[in-house]
Amino acid sequence: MTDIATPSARAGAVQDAILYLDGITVSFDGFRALNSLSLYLEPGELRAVIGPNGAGKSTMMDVITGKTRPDLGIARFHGGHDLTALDEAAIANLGIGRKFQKPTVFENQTVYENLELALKAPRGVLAALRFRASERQRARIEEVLGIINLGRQQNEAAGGLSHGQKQWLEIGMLLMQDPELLLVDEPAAGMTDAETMRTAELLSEIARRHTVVVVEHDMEFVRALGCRVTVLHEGAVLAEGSLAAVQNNQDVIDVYLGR
Amino acid sequence: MSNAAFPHAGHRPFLLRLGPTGTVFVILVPVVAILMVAGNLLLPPSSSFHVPAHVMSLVGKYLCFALLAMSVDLIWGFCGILSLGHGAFFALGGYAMGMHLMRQIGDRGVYSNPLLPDFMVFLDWKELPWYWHGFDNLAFTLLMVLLVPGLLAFVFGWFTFRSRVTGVYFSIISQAMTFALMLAFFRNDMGFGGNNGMTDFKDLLGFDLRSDGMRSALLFSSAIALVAGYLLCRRMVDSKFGRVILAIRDAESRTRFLGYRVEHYKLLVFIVSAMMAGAAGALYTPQVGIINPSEFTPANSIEIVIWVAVGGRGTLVGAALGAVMVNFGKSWFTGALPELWLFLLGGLFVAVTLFFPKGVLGIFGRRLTGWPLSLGMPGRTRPRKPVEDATGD
Repeated sequence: MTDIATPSARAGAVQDAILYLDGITVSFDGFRALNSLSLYLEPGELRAVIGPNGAGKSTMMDVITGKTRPDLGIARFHGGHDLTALDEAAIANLGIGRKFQKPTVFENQTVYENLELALKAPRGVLAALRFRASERQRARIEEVLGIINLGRQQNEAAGGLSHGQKQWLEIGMLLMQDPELLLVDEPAAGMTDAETMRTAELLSEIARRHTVVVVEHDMEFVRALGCRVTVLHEGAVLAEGSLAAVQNNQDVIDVYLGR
Repeated sequence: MSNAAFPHAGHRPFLLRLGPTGTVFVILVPVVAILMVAGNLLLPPSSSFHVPAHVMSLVGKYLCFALLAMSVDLIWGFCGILSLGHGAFFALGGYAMGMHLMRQIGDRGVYSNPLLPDFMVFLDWKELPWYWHGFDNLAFTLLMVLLVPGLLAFVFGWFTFRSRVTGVYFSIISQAMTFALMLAFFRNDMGFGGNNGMTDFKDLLGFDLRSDGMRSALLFSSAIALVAGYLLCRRMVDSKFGRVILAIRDAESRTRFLGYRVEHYKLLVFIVSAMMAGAAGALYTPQVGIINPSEFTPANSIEIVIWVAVGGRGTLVGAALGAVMVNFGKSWFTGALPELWLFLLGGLFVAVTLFFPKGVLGIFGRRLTGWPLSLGMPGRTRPRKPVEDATGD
């Protein structure tokens, strides 16, 4: 577990970290979904978060994106922004994007329109009424369509896509948002092996220019990402390090991998 | 028109951008209105093509209902806000116009009071309440026709949308809103004529309301208002704003995580819709000659939703069509078989919901033109189920 004990070290971490969570506690009807969770991410990092069901992975995402308010603890983005005081839209506009576990695309709109909705542009009501995609923005949409391999389906309703294609479309929407920090919840769930590998490549590619947190069950997928791993258990960090290191950690073996 | 077929629709000429249904609608409505006006004013009553006065008023009323239905379709069909209290905005617009018409009566009332409407004289009031001032001026009245419903929508929407009240809870609160207003307007001391409302109107802009010329002008104005309302709605739903409200309808919390302030979008579309309903009410009052608290009854508001469902939710033109068709049926049936009408209306709603979820326009539209007519409603190849809860765990 990352232990940031001394006050000065903690202050340094707040300054450097793109995301800084300290002592986050969330209770639902007495059940502690998060129990003094602490985690920090450096800019540009790719981080995998693993843990058994109920370990608090999704709740952690909810706290970071403003869906859930923690009972206790500090959540800061870029040192200055207090995430516990902002709502979903404000946090999204700060530059934190989220991909959900179940693919949630706008099913009645086309692939192209889904990407256009996610496109980084003013989010206000009047801006939306006046919006006309510029040549550059349109080129960017085309580019992302190429990256997620959905160019041919761009005028089809997103609801008609296969499960894997929806996942990619959602990753594409994250790319359009161009957030500094991406939270990706189980991107490989329900994918074939080939799709899983392609998704891992896609995320590694994205991680070169963004800070990415991936929540995942699939160990092969985490191995393919080749990044630092945080293991959550009962709402707190159990271990942190390379995949090999955490796989050899006795605590982790006891509660998770060894089962 | 589906954006799937024309991803860059913004660059197309105006009428092409409206698509075939929209083009036909925008041309047909004024043309029919002009033909009716001509048939009423130019042809002698002996001609078999003469349009009698009562038909003029009836069609004028249908056009007002069509505009009202369109306002409900804008919020329900495109943004998923099922308002069961939209009759309140319609009635408020109607009352604002009614106040102007009352002031126009002047000293020609039963009590010949130059300042006070008859019902105030009857209640032994000595002076005009403060909120009646200004309504002798038509420009001020027209402003109030839009502002009063708009302001109520703003206040109501501000509290509900910010508190994230959605779905059936919103619908119930909107019913409560119109019910509360109905009770308030029934009271004599509110100063709006109590349960009798306002009637015995004489003239507008100096022209007798019962004259053929005035009826023609009101019918034509209603047609123009309907087309203007349609173009306004299309301007909104064809823009990126329209795609955002569709996104809100289908997956509200997902839209939030993209950084859109859902409550702002809902608020704007709700206010615009309320103003459209107010305008429809203002055109309705002079054509039917009366406005009273029964316009606020919750059942009225539910009926509007039935018009929209029958015509085709999320199509705008379908909503207008549904309003005209159902009201034509109502006029005919309440004459021929009055006791059956409510059963028929209820049965119609059940049948449409079960068998024709896309309404009349959905049944005939595609077959006639081969073009997709619905603006963003799920088609056959698209899944119908919203994904509201898919953002959770």
